[in-house]
Amino acid sequence: MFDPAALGPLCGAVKLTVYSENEPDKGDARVVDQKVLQQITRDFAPL
Amino acid sequence: MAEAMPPDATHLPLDPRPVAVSALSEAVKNRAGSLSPYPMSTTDFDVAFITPVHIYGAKDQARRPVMDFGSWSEYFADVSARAAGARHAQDGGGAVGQGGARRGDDARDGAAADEAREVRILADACLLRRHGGDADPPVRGRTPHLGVRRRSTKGSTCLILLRSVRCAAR
Repeated sequence: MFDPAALGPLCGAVKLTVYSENEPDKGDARVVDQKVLQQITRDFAPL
Repeated sequence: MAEAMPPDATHLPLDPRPVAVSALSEAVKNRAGSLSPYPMSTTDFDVAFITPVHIYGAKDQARRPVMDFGSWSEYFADVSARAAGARHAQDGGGAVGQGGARRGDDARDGAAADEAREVRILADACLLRRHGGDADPPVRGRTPHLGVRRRSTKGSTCLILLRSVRCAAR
């Protein structure tokens, strides 16, 4: 669970790194799409 | 250990904040597009971002009858529009004078029958959609009029609708 403020579009590029139990030293990193960040922000705006 | 200070009662920062149901309901209503979680993929993972709006939307959809008819949505939108038109005619349809009133009466009978038929169509389609198209006997018994209606309005057969609903649901 993440605080939505941790993923705001104001952060610039948000990078998510996922680690698997099989290879705990090898992170799989992806930059979160700005559209997704905007949608998340939009969802939380009225709440 | 027994003498240790208990932790502060303040919630941790990541505890979800309580959200007003009305705000969620409004957010779902005003939302354009699907209520699916926002997807993202990595090499080995499919990631989905879920917000309270998604959770509320999913619960809300479970509470309401299924009204997503896929490629038949346009047809059912048309049906709803005709039902609304029938209601308008039932109200007199803006007719003036005695002749107009009589026309209103005539229209009323036809409109009421039309409206009842439209409501049955929607109800049957909802049932079919909800049960994955496996028409139980009561539904199967009521669905022939779908075919009649479909042929009379669009020049196609309702059998396609039934199959389409079944395929879409599986």
